[in-house]
Amino acid sequence: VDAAGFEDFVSREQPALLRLAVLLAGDRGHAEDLVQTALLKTYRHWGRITRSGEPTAYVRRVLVTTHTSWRRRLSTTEQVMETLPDRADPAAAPEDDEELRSALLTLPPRMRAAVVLRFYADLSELQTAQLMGCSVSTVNTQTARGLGRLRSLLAPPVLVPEEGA
Amino acid sequence: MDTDELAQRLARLAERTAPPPREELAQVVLERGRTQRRQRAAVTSLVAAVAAVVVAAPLLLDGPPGGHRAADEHAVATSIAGVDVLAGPTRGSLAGDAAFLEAVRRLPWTSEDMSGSDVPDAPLDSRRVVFAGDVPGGRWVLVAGENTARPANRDPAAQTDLGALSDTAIAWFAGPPGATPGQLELQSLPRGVDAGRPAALADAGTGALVVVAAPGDTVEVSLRPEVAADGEVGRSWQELAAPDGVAVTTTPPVSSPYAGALRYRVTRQGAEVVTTGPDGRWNESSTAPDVPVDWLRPAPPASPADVVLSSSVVQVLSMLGLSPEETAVDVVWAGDVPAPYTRPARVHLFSVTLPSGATYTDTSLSLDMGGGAVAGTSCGSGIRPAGLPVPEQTFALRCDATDFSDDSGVISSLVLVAPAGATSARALDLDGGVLAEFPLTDGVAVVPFPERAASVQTMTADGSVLASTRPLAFADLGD
Repeated sequence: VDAAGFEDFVSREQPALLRLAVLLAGDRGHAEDLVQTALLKTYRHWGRITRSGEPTAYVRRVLVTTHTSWRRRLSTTEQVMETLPDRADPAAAPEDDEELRSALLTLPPRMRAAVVLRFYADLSELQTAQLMGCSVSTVNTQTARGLGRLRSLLAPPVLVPEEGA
Repeated sequence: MDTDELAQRLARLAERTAPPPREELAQVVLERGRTQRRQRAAVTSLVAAVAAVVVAAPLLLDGPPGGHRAADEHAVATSIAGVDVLAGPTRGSLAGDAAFLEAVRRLPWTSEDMSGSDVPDAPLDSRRVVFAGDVPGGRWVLVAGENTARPANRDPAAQTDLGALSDTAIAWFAGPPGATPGQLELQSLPRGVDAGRPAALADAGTGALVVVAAPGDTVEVSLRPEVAADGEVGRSWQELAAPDGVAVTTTPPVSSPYAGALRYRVTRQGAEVVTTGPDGRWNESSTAPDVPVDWLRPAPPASPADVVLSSSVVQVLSMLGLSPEETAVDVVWAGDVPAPYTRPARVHLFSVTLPSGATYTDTSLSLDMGGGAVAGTSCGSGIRPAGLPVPEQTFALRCDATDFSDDSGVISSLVLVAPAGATSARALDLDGGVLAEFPLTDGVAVVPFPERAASVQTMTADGSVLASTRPLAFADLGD
């Protein structure tokens, strides 16, 4: 395995992967975990991946797939939970950033991934579909629903007496 | 909000909240990758050798209770990478009982209700006893071995379960105090795990908790989230003694069937390794608690889907770590919404008043699938500060009903539940524009969800605004 090549790749791609991961995962700790897991999976197949072309697309696909499939089994005799790391520090972010972050977290994982890949990563519908392992039609549907839900949630301040928060 | 604005906000959010790059990340990944390869190659021969020593020379393994010798012999790792929390000699108060260890190593990894091709059944020669000890109210054992249930498709991108591709699987066994090996029963579904991550088991009935980490790790426990009167959520943490990386303790037993609020946190060399909940040993002494609820409105005609209400309430109390006596539960409304199925979906909206006076509101959307099967999801949840009594609050829900198949259509409904004085309501978009107006019956309306609706206002008969609220999102308990 070309360890030096892998180190260069990690050094080059890590910041962008962390930015993508924090949007998918919603918090720093989970994002770090996600990136590390994706890189570990990528490293296991590093030889094949580098022979077949640019590994960036591969690791991004692993990142997205891992995110959308991260769940544990439940049975009647156990309760297993995902890693639950620290959230991003809300105090460090403007209110509307926190509002967007909270709104993103209400989207189901695949819907969130579609929105983030289309509007953050600026991927085409086809590229997004290839990354998510689904059809272009599914990407369109998920994106439209996600966008609609975000628009519903990202409301301006309400002008009349507010109940709850 | 147009897509350009969304793109800009996403970019800013990513830039501001992404964790900083770690210089050592590549080394961490390389080391973990190499470790996993070494484990795959060496696990069989290594464990077989250890087992042979255990059988042939048990006196060699006699040591003080608690496995301190094990801790001494287990070199403290110098980094998170490469640390295998399941490695090293057996820990726990029974670590010196070679005959016991050999017997539990041979316990079957399947049981009547826990078996199948996707359940690991580690070959005997790959198994090692990680922990064996007396715990409050019982005797527990953790065994690790080769993961025989790794998916046929080893492409990481096709992974469907974290840990499934790991070479290592674990199984917990438990029995009564002083149990013989034959009295120990499989407690959790054996599963592939990342050997670098701690493992833990909790018993909701006895309050026993065991966390197996690496020697030198710091182990802390938090019993439940604490919701203050202003709705803010926090947790308090207590460090546990874990001299050899294993913490054995008792937490207050809970009345719910599992300890859903319990969290443990492991830090290593100042860095957090994991914060999560333990595997849960079902509280056998607990039937689902019969939580008293007050109905603020008449219940709709009975439906098989109503079974979801009591389990949802129990689940919320479990998640909050509170007993029925510490809370008051109001069913604010229950009724039906259209679904793309042969029958409508049933919605339950209930609110739990917490000790601080804050409220935790939750919802369920359930569908009677026939044949005794009920599928369920949620229309959102939320935490509100203390103050306004629940009957005087207004709730708006977006309920997306499907037939629970992957390619189902979706029927989105707006459910508005308000005090009876509200006679009409209107849905507003982001700019305050009116999207739809509709009458309320007894303060309630179920209407098609107006696309782009951002908030809902309720009004009295004379047109004055009573309240404004946004559709419930999802409550954040901090974890």
